[in-house]
Amino acid sequence: MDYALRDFLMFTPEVYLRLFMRLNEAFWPWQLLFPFALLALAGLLSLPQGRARRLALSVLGVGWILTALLFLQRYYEPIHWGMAYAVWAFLAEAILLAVLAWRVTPARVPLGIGLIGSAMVMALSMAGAVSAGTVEAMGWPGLTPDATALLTVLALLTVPWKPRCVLLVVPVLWLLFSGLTQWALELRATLVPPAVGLGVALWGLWPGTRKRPRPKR
Amino acid sequence: MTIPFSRRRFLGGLTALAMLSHAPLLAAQSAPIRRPIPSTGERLPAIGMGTWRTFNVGSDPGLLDQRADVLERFFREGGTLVDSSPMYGSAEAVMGRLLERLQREGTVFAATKIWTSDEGATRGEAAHSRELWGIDQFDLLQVHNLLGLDGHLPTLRAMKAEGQVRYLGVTTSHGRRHGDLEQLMKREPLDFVQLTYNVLDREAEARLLPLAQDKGIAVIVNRPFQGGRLFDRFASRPLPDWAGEAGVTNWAEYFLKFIISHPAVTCAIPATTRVDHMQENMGALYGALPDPALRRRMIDELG
Repeated sequence: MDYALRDFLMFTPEVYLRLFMRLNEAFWPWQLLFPFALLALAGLLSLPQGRARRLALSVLGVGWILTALLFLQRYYEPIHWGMAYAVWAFLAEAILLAVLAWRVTPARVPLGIGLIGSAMVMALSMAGAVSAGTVEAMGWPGLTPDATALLTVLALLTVPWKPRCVLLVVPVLWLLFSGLTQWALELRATLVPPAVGLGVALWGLWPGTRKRPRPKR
Repeated sequence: MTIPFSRRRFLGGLTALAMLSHAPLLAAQSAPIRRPIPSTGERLPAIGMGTWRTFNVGSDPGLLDQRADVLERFFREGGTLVDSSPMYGSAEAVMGRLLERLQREGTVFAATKIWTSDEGATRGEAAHSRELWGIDQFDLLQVHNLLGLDGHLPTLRAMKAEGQVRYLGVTTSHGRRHGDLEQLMKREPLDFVQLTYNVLDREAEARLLPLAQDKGIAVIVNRPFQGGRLFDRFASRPLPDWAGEAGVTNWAEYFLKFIISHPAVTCAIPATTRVDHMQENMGALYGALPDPALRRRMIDELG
């Protein structure tokens, strides 16, 4: 009679996937702007001007704020009391990204690599749609937590190791929590974004990656 | 005036007579199984309803409609006891909305829990839960998993004396803290205890259930399906040939009738999101129950 992971689940898979569907329904059609925002991020990170690349970090911060206030607070918190704390963690991450954008200039990323990263995030954002069997359950980056955390983990690879480690704390904790949730819900497709995000984060935290040359401001 | 007489009418009359002669038996079979709460003698339907996971749907209109159907079926089939907790996310708020929508505030036997380590917050949490449920008074308030017990129990006792709650109790689950529960049952005058008991998890049979009978404490059984695992393991099997003797027509009835046929058990609280499953669960509230020999057979079948 020991506890199993699924004994700690507070809701059913249907209720969880419906969160995404309700958000998409309420937010329509503004979410269609988000793929363009992703392309813009890739573009900004590819520009030679440091100010443009720092702006990319600020744009990411806006995504964390939107995710906290729209998805977590409005939809997730009513079914999970723990989300009250997650909202604050997401807002803290937004502030950290703003501070980072002020203090650090991300490394320049070739446009092709940026576009590949954006395409990967968009593809993985479809995981909810695969699990629910409808595109209405898609989890947009900048609006829902897993895709936002995954995008942030990728973007943080462009900043020096020390601030990267600090900024990765919230995304990694979220991806870990979310991965365990998907596992317990037995939603295999939605398990992929947290798993990929955690893999990339682990690689980014590896001390061997700290020797990346610090870009000049 | 002549009354036309025919063979069909004659046989029809015989059938009606035969049915009338069996009327008490039919009535007995259609009456829900009720168990007395030892501290008052009030009789409760032996199948109640849990809300963990299943009624935590927030404000989703579609899911609220579905859960309203499930709850209405529960009441229509004779159920009354609904158990929830502040720990269950939006379940209490959902229950309040649905009770109001279905106008069932007067039908429900409302049971919730005090779930806070702040031992001075008993009354405040009970008041908040009452507001969420939209009811004037809880029938049963329980200390959730014995959390903050030393502070909550005296307050609950005072609230009962003041008429703010009808019964008080404590809960455990997953077989945790049975030793503490046993000591508490020996020491404190409790109306209810809630614990985990099912055809595979029978630890409570050794000491807790006999103690409950001895001390006159009602027993609510949670996790009657092991959180659904019993269906995962056994539902693909055909029911044994002798299931009918135990009054069982499906696996839900098998698991539930095993539990409520224990003489110490007052009520089992299965949870579901589906109307058809609710229908199956409530089937256990009617008909024959297994005797001790059949209960042994039920255990052996799954052993």
